Amino acid sequence: MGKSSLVKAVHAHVNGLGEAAIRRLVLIEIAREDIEALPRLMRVIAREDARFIVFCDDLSFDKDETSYKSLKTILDGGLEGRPENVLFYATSNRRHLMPRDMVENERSTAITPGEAVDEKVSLSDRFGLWLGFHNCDQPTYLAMIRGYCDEYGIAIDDETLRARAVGPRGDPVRQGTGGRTGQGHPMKTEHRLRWSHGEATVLANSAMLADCTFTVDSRPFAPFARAPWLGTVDDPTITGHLRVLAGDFVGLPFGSGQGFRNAPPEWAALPGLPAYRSTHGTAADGDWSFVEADDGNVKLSIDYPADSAVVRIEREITPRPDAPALDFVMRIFARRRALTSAGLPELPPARNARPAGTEGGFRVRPHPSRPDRHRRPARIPEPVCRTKG
Amino acid sequence: MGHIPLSPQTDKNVQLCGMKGPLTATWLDEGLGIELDWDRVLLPSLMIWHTDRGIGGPPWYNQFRAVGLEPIASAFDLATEVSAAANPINARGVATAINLDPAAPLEIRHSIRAFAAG
Repeated sequence: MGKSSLVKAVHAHVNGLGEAAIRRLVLIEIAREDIEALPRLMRVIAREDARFIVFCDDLSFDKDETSYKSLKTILDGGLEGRPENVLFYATSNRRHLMPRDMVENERSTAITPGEAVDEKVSLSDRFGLWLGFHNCDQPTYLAMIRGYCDEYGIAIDDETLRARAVGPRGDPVRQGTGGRTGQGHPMKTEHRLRWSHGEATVLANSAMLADCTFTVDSRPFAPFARAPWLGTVDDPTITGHLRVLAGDFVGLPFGSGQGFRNAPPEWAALPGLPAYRSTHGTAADGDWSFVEADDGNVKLSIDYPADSAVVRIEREITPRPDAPALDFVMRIFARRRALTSAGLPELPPARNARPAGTEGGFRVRPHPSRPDRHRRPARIPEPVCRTKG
Repeated sequence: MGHIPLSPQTDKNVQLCGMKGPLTATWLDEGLGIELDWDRVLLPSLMIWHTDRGIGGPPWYNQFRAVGLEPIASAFDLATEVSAAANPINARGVATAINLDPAAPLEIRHSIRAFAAG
């Protein structure tokens, strides 16, 4: 929860002090896999005039690893150890830089109980200063998100912030309540789904499915269009799905509201009204919040305006295990009884014309009659809001 | 609309009312396709939106090319007021709107499955 951010903040702060004794403080991040190169790095930077923080993020060691010995040498100091102008910072999610079960296991199986594990545990003891980062409670978590919103100038009332941060049902979010999670919920802009038969990105904007590639018989297959302007629009008058037009999204109400040209008489009599608020409604014209997100599932939610007959929509996209397929669920929660249009645009790309009479191209075929595998009871239970306590 | 493109720079909608089965779209050259299946009770129509460099102005600038396959409860993509009122499609018994009810949240499912064309 903010461990590596703290290291970087310390570096920025010290450099910003402009103290004469510290002419230059350099932060070097070293990958976990490169720990064995530490002695060589030390020899190089020891000759420099600057001071260094050598930083390893998410450091830990698994069973049978010996690379920790390089780090131990550095931490010990001495001839081959840490030069005077170097401090070593590390973050870890493990108390002793190794799994708890490994500590216990080695303690119980060593010839001299405790000796084998002590060498690795002693590594963690060689750090001069320990700072604990404990899980925060929900009020602290919400305060952190409020801080992010203030920082980014996002105007949001407490009730909406809480609903988006902890989920529409008041449940804690699946990922926990860490700082990165807190930052991610109101402002997370996309999520990548990965499974055995494909990859796809789901955007917060319009909950748009973008860049979906299935794997079919070991071949990549990207069946959806992608607007060439996706990700490049900075015109503030272009909003919502138009900025990110791609594979699959939700229209509620559905429709652009454009009238017919040369309409037949029975249609010409109908009013030529504009779309309600925007083309394909709030669902396609705003940022959704990520409620849950991991490799195998993503769930988003969007609130509708207070004067709408819809309270909110949830959208869930789930890769089908062991198949090149995606399953979608949309749940619509109403504020009052009403009729509304609804639609699910899927956008395969258009192709060039083929010479008349040649085989090939793109064929769309409605199947005349087949049971609908998606037919479920339309009624679903209303979620019960509850507070954690 | 059996063959596309209909014409250069086109932008056309066709609504298939009262769909009875899923839809397959096959790229015959690649031998690959997708099957689109959905809740056809709640969304009984399929709109095919063929747009091939047919929309100008920002951000389109006559660049976008797609064959939209769109399960809908709607009268084309007219305003929702038209879909919710009497119109020539729901006059034929094909719903052009869904019923919102606070006591009965709606769940609409659909899926996309890719396949290798035999």
